[in-house]
Parts: sequence; C-alpha cells; structure tokens
Amino acid sequence: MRCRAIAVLICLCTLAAAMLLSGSACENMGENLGRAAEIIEQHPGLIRDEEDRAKWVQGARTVRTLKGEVDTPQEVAMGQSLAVRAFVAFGEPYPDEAVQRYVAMVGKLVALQSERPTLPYSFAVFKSDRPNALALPGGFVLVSTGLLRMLGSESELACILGHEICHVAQKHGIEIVERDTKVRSLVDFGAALDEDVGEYRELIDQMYAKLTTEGYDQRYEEKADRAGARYAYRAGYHPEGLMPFLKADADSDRPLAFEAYKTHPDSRQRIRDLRDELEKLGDYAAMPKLEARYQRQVLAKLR
Amino acid sequence: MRHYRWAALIATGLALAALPVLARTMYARLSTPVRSGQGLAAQTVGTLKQGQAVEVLGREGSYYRVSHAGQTGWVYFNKLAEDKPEDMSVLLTGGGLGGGIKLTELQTGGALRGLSPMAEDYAAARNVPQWAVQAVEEMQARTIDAEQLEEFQQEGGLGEYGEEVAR
Repeated sequence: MRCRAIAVLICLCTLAAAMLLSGSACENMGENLGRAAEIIEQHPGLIRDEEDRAKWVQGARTVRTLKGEVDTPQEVAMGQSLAVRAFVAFGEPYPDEAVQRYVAMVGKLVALQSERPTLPYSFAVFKSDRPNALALPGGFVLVSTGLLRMLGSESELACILGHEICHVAQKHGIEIVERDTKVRSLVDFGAALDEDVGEYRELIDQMYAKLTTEGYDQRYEEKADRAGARYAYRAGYHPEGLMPFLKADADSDRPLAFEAYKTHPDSRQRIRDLRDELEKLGDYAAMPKLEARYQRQVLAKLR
Repeated sequence: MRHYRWAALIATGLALAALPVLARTMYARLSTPVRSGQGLAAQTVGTLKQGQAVEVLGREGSYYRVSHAGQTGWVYFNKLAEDKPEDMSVLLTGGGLGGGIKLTELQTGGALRGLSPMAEDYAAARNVPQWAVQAVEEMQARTIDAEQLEEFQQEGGLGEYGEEVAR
C-alpha cells in the first residue's frame, strides 16, 4: 500500500515538475497535489512513518502552483502589495495629473487590445531620471519620467506600455516566481493564498526581489516585444515604437533597455523577433505616431 | 468509382473544416456599436455589451460582418476578441486576499477603490510610508470612461477614426 502511495506521488510530482519546466502550468495541478497531501494526512496508514508522511505532505504542498490557483482579486492584492514598495524604491508619483491621465489614457487604450481587456489596469508616472518601467500582477504599470523624456511619440509610449501590459496580461510575473526553485523552497504558495500572513509576506518579498532585480528572461521579453507591437497596432498606432530602444541597445556598450533593473537579453535577437512580428501586421507605414500630441501632453510638461 | 468516393470524402472534410472560418463566435472587448455598414457614418443598429458573444460571418477590410439580434451588421475589428474576456464581477464584491478591494463598475471606466487587508498588512509590516500607499490608491482610482477614450481616439485619428488602419 505504501509503495502504491509513493508511486502515485512520484507520478504526480514528476508531472508537476515536467509542466513547470515546460512552462505549461496546468490549472488543476496544484489542486491535485493539494488533494494528494490531504489524502496522505487523512490516511496515515498509507505512509506509516510519521516523519516520512510529513515530508510527503510538505513536498506535495510546496509544488502547488501560483499561476493556476491565484484568482483576480488575489492577483490585484499582490499587485497592490508590490506597488507600494515599488513607489518607495523607484520614486514618488509625478505631481501633474494631466501627464498621469494622458499616460493612463494611452495605457487603457492599448490594454483593451490585450488578452485581458477587462482587467482594471492602473498606470502611474513616477519621478526618476533613470529610464524605467515596471509591470506588476493585477494590472499595475509604472513608468519613470526619465523614460518618458526619451520617447518621441505617442506610438513609442503605446508600444512600451503594450510590452508592460503583456507581462501582466500573460501573468509573466507570477510565472517566473512560480518557476524559481529558490522561491519555491522558501514559500508555501498554497498557505500564502490561504492568507497565512507570514507566508504571504515572504511571497511578496520574494516576488518583489525577483521582479525588480532579475526581471524577465529572453523568452518573456520576446513575447512582450511581439505583443506590445501587436496591441499598439490594433489600438491604431504605428507599431515600431520599441525598435529605437532595441537598436540603441544593440549598438551600445551601455544598456539602454527601458526595464532598467532586469537581466539583459540579447537585443539583436529581440530585433529579429520584433521584425518577424511586424511583418505579420502588413503595411502600417502610414499609421499615426502622434509626435505632436506627445510633445504637447508630455514633453512640454515634464520639468 | 473508389476515387470518386475518396474525393467526395475529402471535399466533405474540407467543407466541414471551413465552417468555423465562415461563421465563428467572437466577444466584445468593450461595449461597442453594431452598425448597418462599414464606417462611423453608418447607422447604429445595436450594441454589444462588454463580453457579449456575437456570431462573425466574415471580414472585409477592418470590419467584421456579424449577425446580431436577427440582423446583419458591422463591427470594427479591434472591438472583438477571439476569447471571452474575464468576468470581473468578482471584483465588485472582493473576497479572500482581494477582500477590501472594490471595482466601481464593470465597464471601461471602472476603477479600483481601497487596498486589500493583506496588502495593508504587508505595507505596515515593511514600514511603507503612507504616501506610497496613497500613490497606489490614487493610480488605481483614476477613472477614464469609454466616452473619454473615444474622444481621445478621435482627436488622434486612432483605430476606427484613422483612415490608414482600414485595410
């Protein structure tokens, strides 16, 4: 009987690991593993040794998934928790409501073209000379004044916001935390989602560190570059807005990427991927960039 | 004779495979008008609510031809999504970690109010200053409704208002 229980658990854990490694997180996986842990606890005869049993229960619970289990209110709560820390670390909100509203207007327009058009996205501009942008779960997107100063048109802003919106819409932030072995060893995701205060604080700490120091790897950046161009195009903008950043980045020794804190995926590869996506969009040469409106609404107002 | 049978089978298969392309279900990304023809000047014959399913009969240029409430009409391509958008009504009441958060309305102009108790606890535990909490509350409470978005697009010649998008 014990052998059978272990065999079942091994199968479940192997399946879980395979799914995590392949990136195809299954929504039912966490539920299944949670149920397996409950069964072991409720039927001590399956694993008679108390210490062994505790290890199996802990093991099954540790690999519960975040992406599959987190619901939208929980995701928004996580975003709020991360956003309060982000403001402290990166800068105060820029004190001009007109600029804030303009950025939010472009952001909302682009977000409507994402995979999650109904999510209540929130946008903010923070005071920092460093070009930076940050996307947090639940729809919180922050951009720095330093980044806004580098842009020359509304279409560039639309593509950058689109890139950030993609990280939210496709839940990249949650996925990279979930896939991180170190974080998985430190946080019981299930307990955090069940409102265990200690585990929740640890989860947010780990998430914050992960998102603001390492950022996204090549795979997520490629997806976000492509989606950013696609969302912006569908919203009616000229979709090449990310290209100047990637080209400058590729031609420079000093990284110019707008997500300043992140690991630095190969810009030349990103350019190739973005070109591939742009080709699919057809002839967009005459689509609006809106340089004059951007100049009037943002550049003229930034001090 | 056998060849004819195979040909008939293949033709039937192809016809069946093509059916979803000819008529398929799409969903409104936001509340959107169904018009009697292509272009903003055409008469509005109905309105799709956010998330509402509609049968798409085909596409011409930037418009989908749809069947809505027993009549045929046209919807601009960027107003429809392949997948049904998430139902956010749970945010109207909140619950679990999201308790304490309230969405003011489900439509485009909906804004979030309040912080979840878990987020408040986290901010207090990590000594986050009040101004940062307020910054989050302000960003999520910034309301931009559908009418304002429409005016913004019109002013910029974006989407349906831009001639160049139509292709």
